[in-house]
Amino acid sequence: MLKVNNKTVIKEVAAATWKANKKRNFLTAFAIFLSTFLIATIISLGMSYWTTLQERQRYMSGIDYDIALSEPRDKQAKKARSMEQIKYAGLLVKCAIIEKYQDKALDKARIYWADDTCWENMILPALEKYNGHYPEKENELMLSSSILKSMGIKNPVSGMKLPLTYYTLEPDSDEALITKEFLLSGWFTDYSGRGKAYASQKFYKTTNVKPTDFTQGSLKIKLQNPLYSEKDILAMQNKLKLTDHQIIEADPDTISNFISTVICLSGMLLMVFASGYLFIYNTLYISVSKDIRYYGQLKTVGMTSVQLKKVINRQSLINALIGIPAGIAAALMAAKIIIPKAINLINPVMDETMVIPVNFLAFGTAALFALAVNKISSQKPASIAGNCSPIEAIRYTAVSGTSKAKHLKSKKRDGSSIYAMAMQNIFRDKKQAIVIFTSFTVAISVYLCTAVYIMANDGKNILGNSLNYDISFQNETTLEENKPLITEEKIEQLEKTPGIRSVQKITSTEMVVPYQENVYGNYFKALYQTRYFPADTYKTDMENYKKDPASPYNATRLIGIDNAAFQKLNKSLGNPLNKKDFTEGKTAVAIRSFVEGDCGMVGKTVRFFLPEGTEPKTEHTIKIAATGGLEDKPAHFSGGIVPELIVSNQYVQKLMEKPYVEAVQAEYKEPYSEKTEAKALSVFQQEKEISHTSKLERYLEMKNTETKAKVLGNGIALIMSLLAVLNYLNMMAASVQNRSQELATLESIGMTAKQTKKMLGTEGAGYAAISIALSLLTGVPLSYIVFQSMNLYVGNTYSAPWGKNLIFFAIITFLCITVPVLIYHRTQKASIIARMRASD
Amino acid sequence: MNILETKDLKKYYETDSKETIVKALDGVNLSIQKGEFLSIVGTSGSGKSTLLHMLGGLDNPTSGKVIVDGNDISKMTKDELTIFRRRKIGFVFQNYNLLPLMNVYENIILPIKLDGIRPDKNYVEQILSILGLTEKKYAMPNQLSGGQQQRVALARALAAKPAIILADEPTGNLDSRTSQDVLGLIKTTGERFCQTIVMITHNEEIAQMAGRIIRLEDGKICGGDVSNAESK
Repeated sequence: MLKVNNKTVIKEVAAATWKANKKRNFLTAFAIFLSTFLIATIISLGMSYWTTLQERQRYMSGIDYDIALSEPRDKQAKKARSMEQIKYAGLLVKCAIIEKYQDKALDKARIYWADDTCWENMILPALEKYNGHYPEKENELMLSSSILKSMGIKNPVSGMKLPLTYYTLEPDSDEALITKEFLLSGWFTDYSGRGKAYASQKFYKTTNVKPTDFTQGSLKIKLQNPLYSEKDILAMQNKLKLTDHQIIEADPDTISNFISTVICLSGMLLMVFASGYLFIYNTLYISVSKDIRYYGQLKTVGMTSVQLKKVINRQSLINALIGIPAGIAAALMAAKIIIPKAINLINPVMDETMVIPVNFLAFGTAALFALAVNKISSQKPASIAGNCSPIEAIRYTAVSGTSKAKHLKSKKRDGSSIYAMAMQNIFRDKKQAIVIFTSFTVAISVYLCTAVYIMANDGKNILGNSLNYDISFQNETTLEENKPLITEEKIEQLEKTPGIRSVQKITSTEMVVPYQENVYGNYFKALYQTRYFPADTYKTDMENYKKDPASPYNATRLIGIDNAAFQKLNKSLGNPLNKKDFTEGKTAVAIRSFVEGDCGMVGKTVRFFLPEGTEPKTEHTIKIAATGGLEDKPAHFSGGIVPELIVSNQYVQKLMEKPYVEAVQAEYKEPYSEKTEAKALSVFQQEKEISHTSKLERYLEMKNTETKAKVLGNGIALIMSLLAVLNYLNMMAASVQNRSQELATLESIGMTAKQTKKMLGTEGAGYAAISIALSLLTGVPLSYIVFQSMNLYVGNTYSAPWGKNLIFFAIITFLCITVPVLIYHRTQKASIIARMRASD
Repeated sequence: MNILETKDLKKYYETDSKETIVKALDGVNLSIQKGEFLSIVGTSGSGKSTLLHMLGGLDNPTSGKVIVDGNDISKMTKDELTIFRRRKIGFVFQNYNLLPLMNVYENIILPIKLDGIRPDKNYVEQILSILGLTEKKYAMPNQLSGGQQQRVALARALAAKPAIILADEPTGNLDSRTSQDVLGLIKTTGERFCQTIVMITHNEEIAQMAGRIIRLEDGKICGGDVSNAESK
């Protein structure tokens, strides 16, 4: 066959056709622009959001490492550093505990020494900010901002004097207190909320603590490949030749966690792409389908299928060339200007320039995606036009009616009522209905997943799940002088403070439990199997226990709680407690350490004495109704190896003349209220031996990443909802336009504009209701999967922002109802006959 | 008493290039009495359909007035006009304009239901029977032949017992026998309910069944059988 040079004519026809349908083509280009913009922005926002969350998680742990070797020996450290799979191995040793600053008691602030590798490669990346330098001189200390706050130092200055009382963690040192004047070499902020200090190597040497001392030294390891399996860890254990109670702290689920996160993220990304795909595809399909008749005409005058396809492709290329660069430019503007401005506006401390790195991968992906979808979407109409006969093409209509019509006879059927007509219209074009429902369901489901994920990663939510109070005041003299600092007057004063919803008292007292094999026997056996208790000392320890149950090693504490704390405890244990029995002192909860399972304690009755009770010599008994872990213990201080018992305050009241209040916790009417916090703090302001833990203080430390995460997260949610709504808008506009003739016919036989609007509004409401129902069916389970697979925080429970979601659904429903009515109102202005003819 | 009246009615169309003006109607003055059966004849493009559309308020005139039952329809709001049309006028379109998602029965009773009234079932059944549509009562429009669709369109126009029936080539797709039956039905119902019928046709023989014939040419009335004006 002879090759005909027809490039010019194809170019001309394509250009002429494009120009003739300029308005429609601009709409198509606009759809491509929007999709490119939305996808580029979603990917770059998503990446920044993810980075911000990772950053915050690092800050919350205060140190960045993959695995850790406890009590490392020199040889092991050397060996580790020489291993190929290990990137860094840095030594961190806990060497002392600060008790007091001047005369102010501190809540056990730990002093660590970190070697250079640990400081530079593991600690520094996990600090939000730091000033000064790592201590070099023996008397230099670097303090965390939370310990500075506890000390009452608001404006720290390098070199300022710090008179501190501390004790070293040297084994068998009897925790003798040392008072010494330190100098502040620097300070830092992480989000761990713990009072922490770093000391120089010289100081560390003076404490006589060794890295090999039990639980004090740790070799923090950063791996070349952070994804490791249990097998890798076992191999490493063998190579490093672990001795005694040494362990490698590692998370055996790293790989599976990573895989589930990747699956979830890919799934969500895929859904985002699907939304974008449907958006471009719809616009293009509707647009090009309308031209099929015209292409049929071109075929009648001799244009071949191949030529036709070229004409169509050329036009879609013009649209892509307009839409894609504009979309990328808009996304760049959003990333560089709009989002940083928004973050800066919310949190003026944050510099506008430091916010979103422009991610070329995101933009490139979005551009390629839009181009590919554009190409795919124009292929179908191109092949329809190319493959059918000229006459068929001329007759082609994009939106088909009921192709497989049946005789529709049913008693219930009343096709001529407005509601019935609306319902029929929803499903009249099955393809359109499926596309609308799919795009809505996909976009709303992604929105729901994003909303759950954002909520799970909301700083307030994370803190709310880890601390069940707004502020807690703790008596630091507990276990020592036991000064009654938290008095009834103070508690009353706190209760009466405006803005406080409830106050809970935690009482505690020393408890002596005679050796009871039948109650705790299994527990002790299990305890001595853990690395924290040397198994070989079990027998001796038990003998000693039998002889002297009152020794500090064996004695424990009886903890009293209020009704509100009981509710929380019972709920977290899975409601095993009977309130009446608990309140009356018939049952208690035993707290186990390092051991899982109840070890046969539940149901047993335990005998005990209270040396500080009204009758120190009387033996009391109580039944253990449940056991809990350390996370269930509301009190801070611990006793010896015997499990502590949690009972009701009413019961404590019966046993003690004046119960000792160890801590008091308050819940605010408005959580995170700065006003209430200031008033609450003032109650114990004068008490130097009372420390406090505040949710607000921790939250404020997290503020920078929180603002960033909020703006980015909500930005993603907003764009997802925009994508859903735009898709619907696009489909409805096409639907109303395509039904122009039918709507005119209805008007000609007497349907008023009001009735038409009612019908279209009902259709919209139908779309909204069905889409929302489908989205709930798929989105809620999906969001649960996303939450389970990607949750970074222990104690975080699944919850969805239903208030926000309901508002979102209301907006979607409102738009679904109003959009078709508005489109009708704006587009169907011509006379009835003109509209009937326009569609012919 | 005139039920339909046009005064100097004009409808001009501009071509896309705005160089030529097409005068579809050019100063039509027409009076139609209550109960009259009028045929409009003329060549293709003479403005017949445009005149019918103007009478029914389906199109807006360039100038002039259309007065229906004493009401100047140009003064009505869109919805008032729609309701007025629903109650007073039954339309039979040349291309039927049936609603594709509704079956025959639903199409027929739709205008009545839109008015919030219960359809007179016996009457509808009677129309269906006369038009030979009883068996097709629940069929969908795309299952019907052109002639059947035309009959459904006619049934829809008759069902609400409107005061005026405007029919654009109502027998265009029917065989001669059915044409006779349909026209017979139109005439009978017209007489029974004192309806005014305005019908467009190409067919001189069918036109003769009307009481009066007017001829349109180039948008103007150029003749008519005035003598038949009073006959029914």
